Amino acid sequence: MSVPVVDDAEILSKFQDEKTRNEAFNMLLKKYQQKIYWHIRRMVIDHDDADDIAQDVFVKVWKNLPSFRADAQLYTWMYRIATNECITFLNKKKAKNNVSLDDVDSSLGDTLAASSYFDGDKAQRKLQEALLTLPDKQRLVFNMKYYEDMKYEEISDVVGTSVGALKASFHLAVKKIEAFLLSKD
Amino acid sequence: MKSESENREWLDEFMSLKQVSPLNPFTVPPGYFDESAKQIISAIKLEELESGYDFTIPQNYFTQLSNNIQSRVNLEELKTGNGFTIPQDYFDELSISIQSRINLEELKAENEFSVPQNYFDELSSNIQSRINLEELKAENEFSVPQNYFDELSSNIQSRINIGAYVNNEADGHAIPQDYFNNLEEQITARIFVEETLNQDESFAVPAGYFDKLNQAVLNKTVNQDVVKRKKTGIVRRMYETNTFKYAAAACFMVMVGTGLIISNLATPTEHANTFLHKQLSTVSTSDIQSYLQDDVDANDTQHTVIDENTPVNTKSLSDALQDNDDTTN
Repeated sequence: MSVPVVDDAEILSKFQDEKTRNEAFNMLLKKYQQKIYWHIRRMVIDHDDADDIAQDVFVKVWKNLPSFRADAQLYTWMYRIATNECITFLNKKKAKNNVSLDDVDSSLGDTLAASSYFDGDKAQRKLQEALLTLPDKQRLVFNMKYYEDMKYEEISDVVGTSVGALKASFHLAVKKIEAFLLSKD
Repeated sequence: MKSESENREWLDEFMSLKQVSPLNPFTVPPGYFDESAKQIISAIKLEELESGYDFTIPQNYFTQLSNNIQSRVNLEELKTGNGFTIPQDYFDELSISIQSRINLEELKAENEFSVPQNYFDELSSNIQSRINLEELKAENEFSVPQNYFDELSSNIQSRINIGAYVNNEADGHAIPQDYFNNLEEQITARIFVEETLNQDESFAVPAGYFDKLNQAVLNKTVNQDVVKRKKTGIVRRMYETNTFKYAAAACFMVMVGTGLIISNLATPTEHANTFLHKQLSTVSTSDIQSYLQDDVDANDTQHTVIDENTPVNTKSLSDALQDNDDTTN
């Protein structure tokens, strides 16, 4: 990941001032908008769903940024919000369709197959199908480690799970993916 | 975050996964993120507008909401139950009662009493002064005789009547000047005269005594010397009426008594010129003695010519006549 152009402290400082609040929020959007979006998009697969969730996440960031505690990192705080929104969305989708987890995975697979905003090759598509076989939390951890190359400590701050549990979960997820890829070859 | 090269070592264990490109296979519409930023800003503004019209609730409203609802439910159950009763037609008359009360309050407000300025500021000092004055009065209380006030009205009325009687000259009841100044002296003199006159009442005479006395005296004196008196002058009838007789007798007794008193106090006076002596001078001593012996008892002269301590007899009478007979002198 690229180094942030603007320091988080400067963004927060400007956001505290009423006159520079909008400016600070624009800086925050430019810095974290795509990261948050891709984090959501890999979880919900569909672009429109990711778009809605991303907007909701930034609205919540706007509302709750005045009460943000400086002892935590700004981006992990926003990732936690986005992660919770994704989990909530997926749970609602399961509850709404009243389908089993397998059916959900099948639905996401159909979405992935029909999506016009997927530009991956066969191997990448196969990897995404493998990821859809994982539980949401394992998929979440794998995405943050595989695609975003985050440290376990940072992932731990986002999902609220210990580093050891994250490592075990990640290795378990990788073995499942490896097995899926080998079985489909 | 670490670089991808640093984090890809774990892929060596998973060859199938390692062959997959780690690039993001997902794409977005062209210009999406530019539009997305605008959309997010618009969404935030819309949210702010909506939140500006949000209703606010008291602190801990929802925390206490369940308890409040339960309390309200309990209260309603109490009301709807038989716990409280109201008078018959209470609610029918309630509006009228309230309106009457409102009218009364308005009337009170219109007829508000007012007090002088600084009344209440000076009230305490005024009350204290009044209390002190009452206490001073109680200490110096005057007393009146018993039943004074019961008799007061009658006394005043009597005083008014006396004053009206004394001063009412218009009714013709005028009194001489200095009447009341001399009244005491006059009353004293009147009492003395009355007492002196009434002393005769202590003497008693037989019935028709003075008639007989007059006749006897006339027979023995005037009638016997009628020729002689015609020669000597005019004979005056002494006892023409009874009143004159009584008056003459009274005057005689007074004069005799007065003469005795004066004789005891001063030198004897000459009686030769008195009317009685003149009349008696023509009567001889022997005739008087015989008259007295025949017609006068001891009581007739007890307080006149004879000392009351001296026994009455012929001798004493003779001595008395000798002493008082001017003709023999």
